[in-house]
Amino acid sequence: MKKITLLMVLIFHYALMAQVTIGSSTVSSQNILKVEDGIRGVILPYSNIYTSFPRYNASAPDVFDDYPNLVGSLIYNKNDEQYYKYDGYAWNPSRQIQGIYQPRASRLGVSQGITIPCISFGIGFCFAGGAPAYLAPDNRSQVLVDNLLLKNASSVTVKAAGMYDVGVALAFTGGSFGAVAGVTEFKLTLQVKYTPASDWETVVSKTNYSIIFIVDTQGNKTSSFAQTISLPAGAELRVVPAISSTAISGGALAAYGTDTNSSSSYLAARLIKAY
Amino acid sequence: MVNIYSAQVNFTNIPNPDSNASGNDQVMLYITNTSEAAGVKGFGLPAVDTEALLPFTGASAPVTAIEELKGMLLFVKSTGQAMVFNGLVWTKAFEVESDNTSRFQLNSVSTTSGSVFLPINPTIDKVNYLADPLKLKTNVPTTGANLNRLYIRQTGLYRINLNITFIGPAGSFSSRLGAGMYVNDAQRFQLLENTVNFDGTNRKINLDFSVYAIQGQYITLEAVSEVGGTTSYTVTNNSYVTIEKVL
Repeated sequence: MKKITLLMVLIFHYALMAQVTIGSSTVSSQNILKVEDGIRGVILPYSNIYTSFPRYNASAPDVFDDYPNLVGSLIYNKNDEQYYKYDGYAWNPSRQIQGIYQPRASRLGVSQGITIPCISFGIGFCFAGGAPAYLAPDNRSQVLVDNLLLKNASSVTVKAAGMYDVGVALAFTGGSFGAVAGVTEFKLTLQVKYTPASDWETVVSKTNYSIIFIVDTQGNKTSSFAQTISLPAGAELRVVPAISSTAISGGALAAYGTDTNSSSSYLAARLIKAY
Repeated sequence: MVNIYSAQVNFTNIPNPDSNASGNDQVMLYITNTSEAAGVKGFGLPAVDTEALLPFTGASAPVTAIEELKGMLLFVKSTGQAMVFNGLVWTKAFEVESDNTSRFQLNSVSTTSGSVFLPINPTIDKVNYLADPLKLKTNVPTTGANLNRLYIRQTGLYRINLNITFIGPAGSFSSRLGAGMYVNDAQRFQLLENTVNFDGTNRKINLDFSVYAIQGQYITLEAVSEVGGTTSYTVTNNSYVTIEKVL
């Protein structure tokens, strides 16, 4: 009888508030829809690949449009054999915590970049360029969230003492103007100011390198690393980029800037264990 | 009947639960509470008492995946778990995994040019800590360019650890070695490390990338030698890549 009821709903598109049970005569007042059998299952809507999911938009930052009315939707993806859930911003694998709801992590975008000028007459030399600011506004579609509350008015400051996994990535734009040949190294240094009175201390420095051809036209270069570090409450973090060049030239100029795109430039921290 | 096939069914008394609908709201079935104050009601999955009662298990387990049954759900009362069938086996459908880390062994590969893409072996061997809860290799072909690729299933921040063992002619590793990372075939990072001669013969690097990747993108990795260093070496299969989803 209930199966017939459901069929009627399908045919006439009735809006229905009654409790419906499929496969049994027992109706539960706590269910809007109950599927009961004892051995057979149900199959919810599926897709062969994520690009067919509702609200897919290849040009969106997370390839899905934001759409509050779809929150709670489920769909099975045959491509990687798992259910996905929609959180209002993107479809996420059902067995993974969505990044924006990870309570012990932050990812901060660049709010103010820097420029590093270089000059090459015989050998190359690049000037110090300061440190970019990582205080960009949160953006859930870009998984820019500050669940650890690291952002202060003008600094990135740890609020809780503990062991942190810190990830850093910074993209450089620009290149050489003129004929040069050699190697340019793009170096990222993570520094910590453990107390307000202390100096900035270097924790780790990593190098990304680029081979410069006659004219450097390789486009963006990104440095990235991750580092585990024990931090007290109140410690400040910053990233200092540097460029060194062994390029040989009869005379060339270069100007490298920091790319503020949050896909390739960010400072992230995850609290592994609070003390 | 054509209407039935494509109908959108609404188990609410809201005439149109999707107020932003413009003729194609892309929802097949609404089971929506109209008012939390009036009492929330749920959606009851079909259930079995124990995992042993799940269909297509034990002697009834299929040899090849049943395409039509991919995505089937059943609730197991004894474990309190919703289980999903991929056409071949049942796994937990919704419980968030505490281990959001995939780890793979690399196949051995040689180069004479100084750089080489790393073939990522998709074999799952949980006893030896080779696993793929992030499903980076699920249904990814194991030949051609796809052997080198890790497919991102969820937009977010990832930490990628590369533990690479190099062997080469004696005295050849006087310069730094390292690794590069590509996203959708576009080079993003190259890191160089001073190597560790960990057993008197083989050189090893151990480095971490931090990368923000978007759902559907694929990551490939390569071993590199510093300009001016050796161009001939072999990456052995005593090499691993570990991917942790951080955020």
